[in-house]
Amino acid sequence: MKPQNKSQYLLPKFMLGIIFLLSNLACSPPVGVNNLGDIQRTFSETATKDNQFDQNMLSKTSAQDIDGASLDSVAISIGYASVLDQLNTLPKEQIASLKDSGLWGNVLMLKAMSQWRLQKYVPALETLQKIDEKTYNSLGNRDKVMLHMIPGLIKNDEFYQQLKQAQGKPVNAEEVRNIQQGFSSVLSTLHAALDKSNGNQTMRRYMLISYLGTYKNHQDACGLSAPENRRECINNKRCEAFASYIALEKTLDNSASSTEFLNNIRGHWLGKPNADKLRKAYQRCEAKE
Amino acid sequence: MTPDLVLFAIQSALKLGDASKKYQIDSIHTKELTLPYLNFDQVLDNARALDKYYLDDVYEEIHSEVVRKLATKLRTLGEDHLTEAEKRTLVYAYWKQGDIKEDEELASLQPCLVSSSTFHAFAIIKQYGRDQDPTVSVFKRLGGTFLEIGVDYFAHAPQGFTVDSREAIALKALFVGLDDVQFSEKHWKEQMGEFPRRLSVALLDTISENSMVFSTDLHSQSLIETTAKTLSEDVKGHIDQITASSAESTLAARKHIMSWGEVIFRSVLSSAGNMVAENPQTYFDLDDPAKSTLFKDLSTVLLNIVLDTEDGHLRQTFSKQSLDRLVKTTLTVIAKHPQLTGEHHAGVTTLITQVAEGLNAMDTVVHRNLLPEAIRLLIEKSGENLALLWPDEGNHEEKRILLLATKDLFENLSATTAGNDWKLRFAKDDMLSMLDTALKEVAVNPAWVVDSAHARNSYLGDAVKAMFTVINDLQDERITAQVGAQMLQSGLRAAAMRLEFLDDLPDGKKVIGSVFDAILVSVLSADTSSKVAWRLARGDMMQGLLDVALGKLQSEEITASQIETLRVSMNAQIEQINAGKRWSLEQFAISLEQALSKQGK
Repeated sequence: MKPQNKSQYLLPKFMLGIIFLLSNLACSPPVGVNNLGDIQRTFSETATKDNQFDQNMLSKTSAQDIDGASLDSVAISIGYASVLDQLNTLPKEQIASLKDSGLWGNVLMLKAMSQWRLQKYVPALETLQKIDEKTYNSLGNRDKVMLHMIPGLIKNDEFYQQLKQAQGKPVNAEEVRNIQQGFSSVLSTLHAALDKSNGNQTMRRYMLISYLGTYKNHQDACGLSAPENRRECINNKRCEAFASYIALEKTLDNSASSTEFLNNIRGHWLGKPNADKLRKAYQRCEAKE
Repeated sequence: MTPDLVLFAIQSALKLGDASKKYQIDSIHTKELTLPYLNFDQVLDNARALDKYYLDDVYEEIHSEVVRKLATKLRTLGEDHLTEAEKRTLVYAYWKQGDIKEDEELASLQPCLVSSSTFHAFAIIKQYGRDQDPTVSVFKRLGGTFLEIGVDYFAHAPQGFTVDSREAIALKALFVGLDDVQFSEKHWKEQMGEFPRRLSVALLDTISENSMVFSTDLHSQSLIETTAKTLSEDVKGHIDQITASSAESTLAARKHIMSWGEVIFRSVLSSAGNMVAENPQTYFDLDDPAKSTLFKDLSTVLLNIVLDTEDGHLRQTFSKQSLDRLVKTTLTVIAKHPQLTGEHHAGVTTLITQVAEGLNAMDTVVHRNLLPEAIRLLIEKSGENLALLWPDEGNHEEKRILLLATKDLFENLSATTAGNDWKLRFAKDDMLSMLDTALKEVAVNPAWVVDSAHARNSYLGDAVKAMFTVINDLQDERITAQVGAQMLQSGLRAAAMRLEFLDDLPDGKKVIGSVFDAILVSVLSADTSSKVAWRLARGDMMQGLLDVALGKLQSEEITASQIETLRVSMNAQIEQINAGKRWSLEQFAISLEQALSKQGK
């Protein structure tokens, strides 16, 4: 299409400019939406550091490294606290606007997750209780699944704390059994939640990693038992763990990083460094069923 | 700047503003987040590697005697009863999961810690799975693109832009149609966003090219809206199908499907636009044009025809022009048979689908590029007497009279005779003209292929076979494909007038074949002199001789002796030519008539 007349060409472009200018004036986003975007960004950055922190902490041995790790730990706490603070101090008009926009559920989920990671477990569960039916229906798939998972994740962290306190010192059998059963119960909760991923592959992968992480905790807790009691504990949930590993494998591609990740899980978490041996063990589990 | 223009700008700005707000809200809602993992120790402390021997499956897989002894000691007595060397052996064996050497370095066996970047990547979680995001309507995604296309078009259009112009109303109808179409995130990533853009350009082009056709009435709008929406959803469906059946759809395959969708859109609008404008009551419910689904069904069936063949034959043979003709023919048939546009239009879609499938399924070596025209001819001819030629919607092959006729024609034109691989190879136009003739005759007289009880008759097949066998057996390239096609048509037309042409002679051959034989062998045999060949072995002359023979025989009793009379008469002509005497077709006609008449007495 070629220009017939320059003035005709200019006029619509000028109109286009007017329209965009007016639309920018008329259409500022709902109050609070931009804010929420920033808060989401802060949360994600903090969670990234949080996920990296666990590894660093364990691999550090020098005093300097431990100091560095402490600094990271503080930065993470500050990050989550900042998210919580911003969400708790939203002005009333922003809260109303976010509710109108159907984003209040996103707000509550960010709040609950931040509280969880700051070990404010009771407030986190209370925040989840505030999600009524309407707010629940406005949640996306990921947030709905997290809502069901958070109670289990909180329980895991509570028992993890007890596990860390129990390791390296004498503990009584009842305490040990309590920790082991705690992790076993979390495993059941997380396993039941797996069906809720509803086709969201990245969420399913996260759920499976979480399950296997709890399984690692359970195995570590079995190490607290006296040798004569260890066998029964450590063999519990074995087939379920294999099944979760096989399911996790299916969510990953064949890249080098995925392969490396799976190697690590097999060796460090599952007690089966060799992939073929793991598959055979899984097949034996299936045959028994 | 006029007041109207300012008001328009304000209105547009407000509408854009609303759309922009919604987009921002959706972005926040669906934004991917990094989720924190729960607390656990990722790394297996080597001291705790010993615990793994309490796992029954680990213990049972130990093959080394040394390791098994140590593992048994660990399980029964505990690690406090193992020496450091024994513990080290077990740790090594765990990571090696097999025999170990004393001097092997543990570091080389033990996997590294999970890399932080990998672990982090697995914590970035989208709100929805790949095909579940509910927030991506076509129009929401592409509002800006449509605006750009519209501005560019109207900037260069002599008439400029007004909201009540044909183009503006047509675009609005397109946008309304597309607004209901939901593409998933996966579709956008696979560049399906290109398709609505192509439709909008195609619409503006079609209106420019058919300036008298598109009006601002509801029927035109309904046509555009329905066709755009249907094709967008159908294209999406086809792409989903190829993705599901293979690891992923290739870019080329997706582009191909979208190209066909665009071609069909252009074809339906340009071919149907005129007919809809002239006879809206035929194609739409006048009270509520939006209720009519004819064009939705037609678009779907056309896309299915060109895309749904396993080997893609039909896809490779259709063009925009052949689609245009097919659409026009179909709409013409609908105009004659309004019952085809009943409540569910199953009639018209069944008609086209069954014709296309029936032809594509034919196990004959025919030109694939004539299939689109063949489909169109079958629909056109069936439309001339639908009650007789396509009486119901069920898939009853025996009632599809013209399809049977086509099958008989194509099968016999593809066959070779025993011991003879040579055969006349017809061009597309020759085949279509023969098909047209055959279908005309069968449409008038279905007994060519079925009797009154729909039992099969083989008259058509027998006739074609008899004539074609004679031609093929001659193996003479002086009979060109075009001449051969014309001869066959002459034979069919003659047989249509007299069934006796399809009788068997005492030698087992069909009368019609013997007529061909009598003419062509005389002219083309190896014994024929050069004088005769010069005069008679030409396409137009052979055709003329045949037409004369068939015409004269039609008026007489057709018997074996009459055929013999024909042969004698032909020989006489040849003698005359050899003798250098005057000769013409008219003379042949007169002498043949006299000879046949005398023989008949």
